[in-house]
Amino acid sequence: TLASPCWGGGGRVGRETYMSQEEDWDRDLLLDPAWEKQQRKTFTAWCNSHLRKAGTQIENIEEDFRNGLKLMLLLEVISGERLPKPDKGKMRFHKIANVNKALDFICSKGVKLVSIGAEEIVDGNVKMTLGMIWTIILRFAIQDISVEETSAKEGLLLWCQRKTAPYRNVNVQNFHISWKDGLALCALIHRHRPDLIDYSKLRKDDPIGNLNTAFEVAEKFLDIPRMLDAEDIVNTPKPDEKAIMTYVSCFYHAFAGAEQAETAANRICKVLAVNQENEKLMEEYEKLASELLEWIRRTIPWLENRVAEQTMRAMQQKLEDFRDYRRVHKPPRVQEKCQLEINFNTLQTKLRLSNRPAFMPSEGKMVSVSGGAKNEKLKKQ
Amino acid sequence: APNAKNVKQMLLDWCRAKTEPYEGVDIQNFSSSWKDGIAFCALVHRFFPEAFEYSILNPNKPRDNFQLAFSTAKMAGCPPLLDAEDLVRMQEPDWKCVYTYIQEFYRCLVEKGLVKTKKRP
Repeated sequence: TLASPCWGGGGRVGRETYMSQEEDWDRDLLLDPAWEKQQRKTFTAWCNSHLRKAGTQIENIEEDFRNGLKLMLLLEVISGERLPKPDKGKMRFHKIANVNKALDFICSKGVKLVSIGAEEIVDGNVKMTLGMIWTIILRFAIQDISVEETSAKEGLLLWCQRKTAPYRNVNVQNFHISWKDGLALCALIHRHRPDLIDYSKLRKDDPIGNLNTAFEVAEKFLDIPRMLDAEDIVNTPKPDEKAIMTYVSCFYHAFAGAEQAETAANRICKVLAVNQENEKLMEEYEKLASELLEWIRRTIPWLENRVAEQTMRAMQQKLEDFRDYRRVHKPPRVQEKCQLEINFNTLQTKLRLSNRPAFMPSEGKMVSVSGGAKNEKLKKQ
Repeated sequence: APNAKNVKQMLLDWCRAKTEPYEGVDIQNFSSSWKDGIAFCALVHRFFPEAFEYSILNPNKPRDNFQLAFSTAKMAGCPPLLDAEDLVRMQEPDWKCVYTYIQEFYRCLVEKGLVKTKKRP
């Protein structure tokens, strides 16, 4: 359909591969059919802006690339390189050969062209032709883009600006003049380690002093060796940008690295604390279970002792003891058992929430077992 | 060689980096972020600050903004691949079209030595 954003062309097996390579954000184009017209216009304008330099133009993007000649020209203009000579003939296989020369050239630059076939281009498959042009624009045309360097510099500048924002007398706009009075550097240090510099005592009219303070502190406490010379910076109208950038990036590594490490450490601490808590709960459980079991073990023989006492007095005593047991000794133990059950369940929940394995009490101490010991005792009563 | 995702992301990062100092611009993609034309103006202004006054631009006048950005870029050698009327008519700029324009703008800047790349440091 017209609205389909898939460049794969009808029924080709490669369609899915192509789509996944081009990422899923293609799908939201399904909503606006005007896109194809717009793209056709834009891509045509783009092709022509380059073909102009080779002294030619296209009028119809669907038709004019079919024999492969202008396609090869386009690639030559964009890359600044020569392609192999085109075949002169006008037959279909000549055209296919030329289109293949173009496609091979693109491939040789490391740009994979999944699902684009020379035959379809020669046959005038619109979607495939547009897809091919788009691939050239997207992946081929600015291959040597190197934003890393620019981004890194901007990123570092941004970081400096953010960190020194609270300091009114500091205004970092670049990596040269902004650092001349030494305040920016001191502010950067002070922001992270207020213990190292008494910022309020610094004066704008003592740039050499400020710079040297920063250099000294950095060398002594931050493990950043001296790289710059205070006199040099102050006496040069525009200090060396690269040198300053290099030096400042050491601070970035020192501080930003520490910040990141701190967050990680915090996380680890939290986990450890939770683990410690859980360990403690497990210990408590074990201890309580042990005590309870011990008590049960002691009490059972006592309960089992049905040997009739010789005297009435002795029998009465026994009865009283038994009553004591029922009224005084047993109830708290029942409560203990309940508590044990609760503790057990709480602990299991906590463990589950922190993705830890379930708690397996040591042998004989499972709640039901201690319950079992209890039950046995109750029966004997 | 960089794959599609890398190049696209790098170009996006580059746009963000270059327009970071400008108010009213927040480039998150190659479509909706460019809708009012201000992002184009900021990017162009970054390299040609003498061409026009950025602070008086009005985001409610996208047509004017597009025209200003494209005509300024044209003077610098960047072909007007996009049409202000088309952009205004669409609900949201088509990202492939915006991308095509921006990468062409980038190429022009490289050509003029205003932008450093791996090949032309």
